[in-house]
Amino acid sequence: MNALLVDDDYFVVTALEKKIDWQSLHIEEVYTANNVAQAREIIRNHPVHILISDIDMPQGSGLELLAWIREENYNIQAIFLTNYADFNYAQKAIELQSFEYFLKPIEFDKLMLIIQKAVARAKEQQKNEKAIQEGYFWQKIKRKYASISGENWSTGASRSL
Amino acid sequence: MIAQLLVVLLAVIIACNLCFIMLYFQKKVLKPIKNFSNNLAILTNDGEPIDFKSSKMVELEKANRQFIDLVTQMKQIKIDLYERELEKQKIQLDYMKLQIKPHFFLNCLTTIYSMAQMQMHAEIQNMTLSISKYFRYIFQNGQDFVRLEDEIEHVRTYLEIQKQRYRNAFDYRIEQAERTADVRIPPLVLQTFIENAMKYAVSREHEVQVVLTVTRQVVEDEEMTVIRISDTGPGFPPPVLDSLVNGQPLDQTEGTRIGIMNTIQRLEHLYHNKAQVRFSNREGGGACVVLYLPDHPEDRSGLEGGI
Repeated sequence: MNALLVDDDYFVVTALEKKIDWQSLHIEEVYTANNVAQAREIIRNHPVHILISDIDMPQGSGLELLAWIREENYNIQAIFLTNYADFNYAQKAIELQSFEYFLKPIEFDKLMLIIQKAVARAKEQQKNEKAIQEGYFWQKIKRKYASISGENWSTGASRSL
Repeated sequence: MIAQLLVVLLAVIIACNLCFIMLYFQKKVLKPIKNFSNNLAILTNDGEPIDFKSSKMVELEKANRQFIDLVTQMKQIKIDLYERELEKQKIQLDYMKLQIKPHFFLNCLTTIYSMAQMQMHAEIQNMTLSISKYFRYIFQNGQDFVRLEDEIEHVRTYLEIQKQRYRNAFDYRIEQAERTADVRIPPLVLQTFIENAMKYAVSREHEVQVVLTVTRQVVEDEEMTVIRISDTGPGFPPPVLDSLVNGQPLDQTEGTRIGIMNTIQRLEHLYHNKAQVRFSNREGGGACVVLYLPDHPEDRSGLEGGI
C-alpha cells in the first residue's frame, strides 16, 4: 500500500514524511508532492492508495486534485488537511467522497488513527474488487462451459423429466 | 328715530360685511397658509408631501411646488451621500480584511508546528522573528501614507517567510532607485500585488522570479514614483486581464480578488484618480503590474478614519 502527501508548505510535507511511522501502518512507499501537477504525475505513474492533501495551494487546490482522481476512476482514499474551517470546502470534500477532513495543525496520533482507518478501508475495497473480479471470471468460465456442453445439459434435463 | 334706525342698520350691515370678509379671509388665505405650513412640517419630518391642488392661492401653490422640488432634491443628495458613505465603509472594511489575513497567519502557525514536530529549533526561531516583524508592521499601520522604504522592508519580510515555506520555489529581486526611500505611498499596496504574484505564479514546476523595481519617472510633466512588480509565472488569464485593463470590477463572489479591487479603490480615493495602475502580461510569460503614483496628493484625508 502506498501513500501520497501533497502540501505546498515544505515543512508540513517533510514533517509528515519523516515523523510518521509509516511501517506500522503497513505503508511501503510514501510519495510527496508540493503542488497538484506533481501529484497528478505521481498518481499516473505509481500505484497510490491513500492521499493526504492540503486544500489551499497556489495553482490548483486539493479539491481539484480529488475531482480529477474521481474522474479518472483511481481508487484512492483521500484525507484532507486544511487550515480553514470553510463550510464550502467541507461540502465539496464530502461531495467528492473524501475519507476525512481535518484542520491543521494536527497531532500525529490523531492523523495516524485516521490513516489506519483509511488503510483498512482501502484493503476492504481491494478485497471487494478482487471478489467481484473473481466472480466475473467464474461467470465467464461458467458461460464458456455452458456453451460447450449446453446441448447435452438441456437434453439430459428434459430426459430426466 | 329713522336716523337711529339707519345707524343700527348700518352697524348691522357693517358687522355682516365684516363677518363675511372674515369668513372669506379664513377660507381663502388662512386655511391655505395653514395647509402650507402643515405640509412643510410633514416634509421636514421626512414624510411624503400632500398634494396641494385645493389651494386657491396661485402664489402659495407655486411656493409649495418649489418647496416639494427642493425637498426631493435634498432627499436625492442625502441618498447619494449615504451611498458614498457606504462605499467608503466597504473599502475600509475590505482593507481591514486585507490587513488581518487570517489565512496567512494560520499557515504560518502550521509551518511552525511542523518545524516543532521535527525539532528544528533554529528555523522556528527564525520564522517566529519574521512573523512577529510582519504582524507588528501590519497592526501599527493606521496612517494613510507610509515611507516606501518601510513598505519595501515589509515586503521583504513577507517574501522571506514565504521563501521558507515554499523552499526555493521562487526567487525575488528588489531594485530601488536613489531618492525613492522617503517617497510616501499608501500602506499594503506593494504587499497586495506581491501576494498576488505568490498566489498565482509560484508553483514547484520551475523556479519563479519575482521582481520589484522602484524608479522615478516624468510622466506628462509630473515626476512620479513608478513601481513595477513582475513575475515569470503563467500571467493573468485573458478574461481577468481584460477586466483589469478596462477597469471593470472582478468577480469577488468567492471572496477572492478583494485585494486588487480594494487597492485600486483606495488609490483612487487617496490620489483623486491621479494614480494609475497598469496590468499586462509579459512577452516571455508572466504577469506585470506597474503603478504610477504622483508625489503629493492634494488632500491626504481622502478617506477619513485613518485608512
